[in-house]
Amino acid sequence: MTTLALYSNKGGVGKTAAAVNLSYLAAQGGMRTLLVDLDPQSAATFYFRVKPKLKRAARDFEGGKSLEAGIKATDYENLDLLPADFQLRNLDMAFAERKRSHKQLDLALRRFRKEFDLIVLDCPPTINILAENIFATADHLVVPIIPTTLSVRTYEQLLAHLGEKWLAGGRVLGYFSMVDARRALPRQVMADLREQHSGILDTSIPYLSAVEQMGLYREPVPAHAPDSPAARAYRALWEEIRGDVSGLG
Amino acid sequence: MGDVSIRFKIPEGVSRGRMETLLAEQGALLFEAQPPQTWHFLDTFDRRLAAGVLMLKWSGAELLLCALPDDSILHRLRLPAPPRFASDLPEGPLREQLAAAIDPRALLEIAVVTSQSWHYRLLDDEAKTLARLVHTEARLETGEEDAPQFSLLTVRPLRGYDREAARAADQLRSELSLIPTDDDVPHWALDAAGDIAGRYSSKLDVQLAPQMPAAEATRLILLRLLETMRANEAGIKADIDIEFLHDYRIALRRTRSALRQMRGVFPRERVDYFRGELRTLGRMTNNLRDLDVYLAAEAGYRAILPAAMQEDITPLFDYLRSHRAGALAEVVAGLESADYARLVEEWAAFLGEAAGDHDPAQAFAPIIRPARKRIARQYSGIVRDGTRILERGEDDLLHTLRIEGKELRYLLEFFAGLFPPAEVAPLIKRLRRLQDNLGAYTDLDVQQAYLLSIAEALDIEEARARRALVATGFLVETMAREQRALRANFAGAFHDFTSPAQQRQFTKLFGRITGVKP
Repeated sequence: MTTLALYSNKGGVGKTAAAVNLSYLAAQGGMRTLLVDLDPQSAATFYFRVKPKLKRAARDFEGGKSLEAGIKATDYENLDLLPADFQLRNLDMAFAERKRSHKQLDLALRRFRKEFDLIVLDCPPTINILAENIFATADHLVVPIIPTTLSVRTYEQLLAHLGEKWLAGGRVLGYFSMVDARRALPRQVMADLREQHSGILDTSIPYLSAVEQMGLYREPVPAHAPDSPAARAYRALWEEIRGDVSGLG
Repeated sequence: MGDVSIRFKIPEGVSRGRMETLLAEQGALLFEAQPPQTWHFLDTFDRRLAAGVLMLKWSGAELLLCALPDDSILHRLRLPAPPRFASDLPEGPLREQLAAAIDPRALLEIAVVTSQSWHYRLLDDEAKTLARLVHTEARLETGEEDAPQFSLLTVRPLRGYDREAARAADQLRSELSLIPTDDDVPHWALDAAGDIAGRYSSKLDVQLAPQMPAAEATRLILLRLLETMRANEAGIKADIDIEFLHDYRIALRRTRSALRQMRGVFPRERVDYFRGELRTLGRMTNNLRDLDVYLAAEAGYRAILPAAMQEDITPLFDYLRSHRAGALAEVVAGLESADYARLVEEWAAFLGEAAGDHDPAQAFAPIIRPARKRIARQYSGIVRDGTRILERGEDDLLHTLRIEGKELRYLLEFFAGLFPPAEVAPLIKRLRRLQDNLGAYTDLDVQQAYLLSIAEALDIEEARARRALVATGFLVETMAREQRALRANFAGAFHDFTSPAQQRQFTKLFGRITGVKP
C-alpha cells in the first residue's frame, strides 16, 4: 500500500481538486483507493456528495478503532472515502494530548494497509502536529505550487523544514497548479524553480474553468468531462506520479 | 469483502415492463441496461465441479472458472470453443485446477442460460448513490416454449450505507411482493437444468430398515445398481469419457457381489441364471476397460522411463490405440444387442417381483440378520487368508485377499444404513488402507503381465519395436521393485485392520468372527 498526501501549508492552491481527481483516476485504473478527507472544511467529502458526520470525527482518529465504520463508498468503483467534518479542527489538540503524538495518524491508518492499495490524504493547510502526523505516515507528499513568488517561497520553506532526508529520497513531488500560461511572470517563476529543485514534476495543471466547476457538478473532472483539457491534465499528472512512485502499478 | 447483496425472487408473471414502472415509482434511477448474454454451464456427468464447489461457464468467447457459492472468478481465459477435456486447454492454472477436479471425465453442457440485467441506483436528496439495484431476467435455453424463467432483484449495499440499503430492500419487498431468496442466476439455472435432466450419482444411497424382509431389501439395492448401469449406457455408446464404462462396471461388479452374497434369499435357479448372464456381460467389457486404463496411464509410464527412452514406448501405446476402436465397437454392439435388451428386461422384471411361495424362507428374514452374518463371514475370511500370507508366505493369496476385501467393502456399503455410521466409518477407513496396499500390489502384477503380453505381439523385426521391448523391460523392472516395497507395507496395513481391538469391534457390530485362532 502506498500513501500519498496532497499537502501544502498554503490554502487555495488546488489540493482538494487534485486529491479528488487523482484518487478517482487511481481507482479507475483498478487500485483499491481510500481518500481520507482531513480538512475540516470537508470539500472532498462534498465533491462526492457524502453527507459529513456531525459528531465524533476527531475522536475516531484517536486510536482509529471506529474509523472503519466511517468509510463510505463513493459512486465509483474501487473508490471509498473517509469523510471529514468541522469537528476535525480539533484533531491537532486530540493528537497533542496523546503519547507519540506525531504517530497517531499512522497508527490509525495502519489497519487499512491490506484492504487498500492506495490511500490519498487530502490535507488542510497546517504546519502543526497534524502536519507532523501527515509527514510520518505519507510515503510521498504531492505539493501543488501556484507559480507566484509568494507560493514558491512557501514551498521552499516546506522543503527546508522537511530536511535533507525527504529531498534525497525524492519523496516530495511538487507540481505547478492553477497555471495561467498566457502570462510571462509565471513562466519565469516556473523555470527558475525547476532549475533550483529537481523534485518538480513536468506536468502542470492549468487554470481551467472545468476544475472550478467541480463544485457545481460534484463529480471528479475525468468522470464529468472525460475529454476536457482539465481531465487530460490530471490524467497526465497521475501518469507522471505513477511513473515516479513505486507501488502504483 | 464477501457478497452482502440482498436478493429477491420476483413473482412469476411480473413482466419487465411492470418492473420498470414499479422501480421508477420507488425512485430508482435506470443507469445502465446490459445487452442479453448467453452462458453455457459446463460440468461432468457426475457433477464433479459442483461437488468441488466450482462452476465453469463459457460465454461464447471466454471461459470462466468460479468458486461457489459466491461465484467469485478464479481463472478466466479467451477461448473460441468450449473445452471437452481439461487437456484441451492451454497449460496454466485454469487447466491445472480443472484437471485436478474432473480428470479423466469430459465436460458436458449442463445448462444454457440467456440473461439480461438492468442496473439502477437509489439516490438521496443530494443525488448520492445509497444502493445499487439490479433487475435480472434469465431463461433456460431448452428449446421449449415453456422453458424455466427466473426474475431476480438484487440490492447491493454500498459501504457505509448498509442501513439505507436494508431500508430500501424492506420497502421494495413489501411494495412489490418480492420473495427473499439465496439463489442467483447460475445456481437457479443449474438447479432447473437438474430438475429437467435428472441427477446422476454413482453413490449407493439406498434406505434400508433393519426389519425389512431380506429379499425386498436386496432387490432395492440391486434396483439402484441397475439404475446406475442404465444411466451410464448412453455415455459408453457415445464414447464421451472412460468413466461411463468404469461406473457401469463397478455397478455390475457390485450387482454380482450382492447376488453372490445374498443368493440364499432368492430361488436358486434364478440366481444361477442371472449370475451366469451378468458374468458374461462383465467379460464383454473387460478388453475395453483394460485399454482405457493403460492408455490413460500413458503419460505416467513415460515419466517412469529415463529421458532417453521416453519415446521408445510409443509403439506399445500405438498398438493399444489401434485396438481401442474395435474394443469399443464390440461393447457398443453388445449393449445394443437383442440379448442385452432381453437380459435387462428380465432382470428388471425379476427385481420388480414381490416375494412369494416359491421363495426360500430366508427371503422373509429381516435383512439385518443376513447382513451381519455375511459381513462377519467375509471379515473372517480376510483374517484367515491374510494370516496365511504372513505366516506361510503364500503370496498368490494376495489377489484373493484383495477380492475378499472388495466384497467386504461392498457389503459394508450395501448395508451402511443398518449400522451406526460413527462405528462403521473407522472400520472402512482401515479397510481402505489395506485395500490401497493390496490394490496397488495386485495392479502392478496385472500390469506387468499385460505389458509383457503386448510386447509379445510387437513385430521384433522392426527397430522401433526392439527399442519398445527394452523400454517395456525397464517398466516391468520398475514395477517389480515398487511391488516389493508395497509387499513390505502389507503386514502393517493388515495388522491394523485385524488387530484384537478391530476383531472385537467387528464382533460387537456384526457377530462372531469364525475360524480364527483366538
